[in-house]
Amino acid sequence: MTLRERLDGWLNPVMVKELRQAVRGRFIVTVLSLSLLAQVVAVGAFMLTGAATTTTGITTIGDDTFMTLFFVLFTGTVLFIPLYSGIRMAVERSDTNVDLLFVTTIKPRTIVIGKMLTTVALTALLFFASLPFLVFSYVLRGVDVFTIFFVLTIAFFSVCSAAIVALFLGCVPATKPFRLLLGILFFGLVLMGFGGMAALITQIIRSSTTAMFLTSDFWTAVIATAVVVGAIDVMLLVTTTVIITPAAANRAFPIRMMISLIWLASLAVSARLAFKHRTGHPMVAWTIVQFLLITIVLCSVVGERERWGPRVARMIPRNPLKRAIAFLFFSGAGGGVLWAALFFGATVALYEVVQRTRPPSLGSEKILESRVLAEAAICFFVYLLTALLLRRKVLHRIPPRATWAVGLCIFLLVAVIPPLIFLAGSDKTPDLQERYNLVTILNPFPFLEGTGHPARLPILMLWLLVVSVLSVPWIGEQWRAFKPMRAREDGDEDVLQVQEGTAA
Amino acid sequence: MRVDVVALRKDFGKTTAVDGVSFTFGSGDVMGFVGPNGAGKTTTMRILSTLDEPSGGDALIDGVSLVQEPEEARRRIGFVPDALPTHADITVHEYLDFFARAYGIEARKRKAVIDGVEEFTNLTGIREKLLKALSKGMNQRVCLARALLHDPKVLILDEPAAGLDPRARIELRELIRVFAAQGKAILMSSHILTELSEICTGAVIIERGRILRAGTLDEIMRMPEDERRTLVVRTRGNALELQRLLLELPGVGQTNVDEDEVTLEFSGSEDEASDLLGELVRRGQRIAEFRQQRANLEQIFMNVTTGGVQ
Repeated sequence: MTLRERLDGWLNPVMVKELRQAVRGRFIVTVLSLSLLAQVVAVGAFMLTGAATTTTGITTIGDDTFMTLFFVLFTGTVLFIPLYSGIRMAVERSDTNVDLLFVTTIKPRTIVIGKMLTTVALTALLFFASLPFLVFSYVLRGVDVFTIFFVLTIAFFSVCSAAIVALFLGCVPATKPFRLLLGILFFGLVLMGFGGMAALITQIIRSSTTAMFLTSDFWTAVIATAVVVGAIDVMLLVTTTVIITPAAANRAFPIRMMISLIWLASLAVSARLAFKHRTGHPMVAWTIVQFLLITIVLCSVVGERERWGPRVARMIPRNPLKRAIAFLFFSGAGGGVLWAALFFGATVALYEVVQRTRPPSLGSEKILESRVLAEAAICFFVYLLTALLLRRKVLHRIPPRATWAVGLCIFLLVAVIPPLIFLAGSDKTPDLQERYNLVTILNPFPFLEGTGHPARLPILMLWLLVVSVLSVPWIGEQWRAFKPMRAREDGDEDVLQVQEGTAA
Repeated sequence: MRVDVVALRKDFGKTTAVDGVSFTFGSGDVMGFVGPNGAGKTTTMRILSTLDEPSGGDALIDGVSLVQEPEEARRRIGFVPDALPTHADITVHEYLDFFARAYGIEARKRKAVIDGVEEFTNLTGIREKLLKALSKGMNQRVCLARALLHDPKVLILDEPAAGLDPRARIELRELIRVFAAQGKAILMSSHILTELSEICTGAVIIERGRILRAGTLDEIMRMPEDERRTLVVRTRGNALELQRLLLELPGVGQTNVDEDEVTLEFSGSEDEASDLLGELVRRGQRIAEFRQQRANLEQIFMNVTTGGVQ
């Protein structure tokens, strides 16, 4: 096999197809042509009119020229590349096209990686095409080469990140109006991000000194931002892959595994930062982020399958310990609920341990009560578990995937609407706070500061106990059904049934 | 090559879309898959193509289980769904190249494979045309070419003739005959039963997820004992008198006279039909010919299905 053939064999098929479509289509060619045209016009205009002279007599219009060229390029790429990627993903997300891919031996992750690589390649194409103009601004003085490359690198990764979000939104299984709404929200966010980037880039160029790039604080901030953005991008790519994976597959596994790894890695980083800077803030931030992630996973978990088809059953280990771990991580509502309980519990427990031991290096500040965290964790858990219970026992017509919406409705009904009615109708009497605490007894996120009924935690714990006890037989039933393929063949037949529409 | 579908079942919540479907077909067979809309044809075909997972049962492609080894089974199957591709800005050749890559065909073999398939499906002349510029018939050809890239032993075609003009249908029919001659096992659904009768060697009739008839066309068209049958009686005497007499006899339904022939719908077994002939002779009728009219697939379909969906 020749080297060319070998290289050809390594190419991602989706990327090859997408790039062929991109160069054949009008969209990318139009964006590229307009972007270059605008840059030629901008350079020409600066050359003719913008010559500024410093006191030393040296012309320095390079920074203004660079900023103009940069914003022409950045506007074009940050708006149109994600738009192109998102629309292409949404169009090809149609069942027919995805089905066609899944009758081949291609893997879902190859599809997503291919789409992402296409985005990177198209962004690189636009950036490299503009590079001669941008570097030309260096000749005009006022901006150094390092700043040019630094700014372009930031912009390049920003465009790629925006495109990853667009890919994710493009494959969200939702109705067209809802997708349109998501798209509008996304572009609102992009515009806000654009404003922030514009301010940042302007500041970097205006205050550009080599000294700034030599400070460790600067690079710490850059690396921290890159790590956070990178983690979000990876999460979105994994989620996008999971969304396009067939429902019969073990779709929850990569998500739960990823969140577990993020939980561990971010704990290590937060603890390191907390000890280094002698503050509890990183741990608080870690706890809040983990709560958010676990709650999102729990919202999905309560709508997952309760039986496993052969495709998942093939992967269930025979070893009891491995099987128990697999139960937590594999697709399935029962195991997912236990996974969420485990991680909620571990997060609150770790936070409490840090609070109690309070190493001297961490300072004495008390930012967030462990009680508040426990209340929040139990709140998320009981509302969603109650929704699951109601959907299974009473609301049979509600599809499993809408269980999270039932939980939200219960939360609104018992925890949000009563306080709002109370606030609208009550006079400002001295016992207002006390009465308000009472109506927000089931809501750990009250609208007023300093509120909290002492009985809230015990009541939530009692509620948790009730729903947990009621859910034990349901989880037990799933655990018994969670058998490897061969064990099933030896045992009962009905566990082979797949509950359709509930796959994670 | 042999495909054994064994007690296949698919539940969507409380609805059973496919309920214990079993049938067999092999190399060189063209099996028609017939049923009213919503009968479970597409669901069965999607399961056989490994796109969906069965709730019960299995299918063995030359002994390879769809349930236990879907990846291995997938290599042996070429699937043409009932919808055409919607990829924009891509030529026929690029489209096939993409799928050849997706099937993991090695770079050194890929060009030869694509060229061969293009030639076989008569696409060489339009390989540089954009997909969106093609007619429906040509697009269907591209779909067939795509399904042939990895040289599958089994072809599953879901409504391949839907929306095609007469020429494209004839060409498709010829292609399917060639596939069968090459030894591929073909399962093909269609609503055009006359066309299926012309190319199929066997048929599966399905309704409400259950199989009503399955087997070779000869087996299918042979009336079961308890079904209706159409009999033709030619008389040397008066046909109208014969008709009057027939209407008095048990099991005889609608009758029709055409010159010296009476065609009648008869409910009963072959033995009872033979008794009917004996009775006519006993009553002094001069019977010149007494035969059972062979039912076609359309008639069988109308007889055995009720038009219901799950």
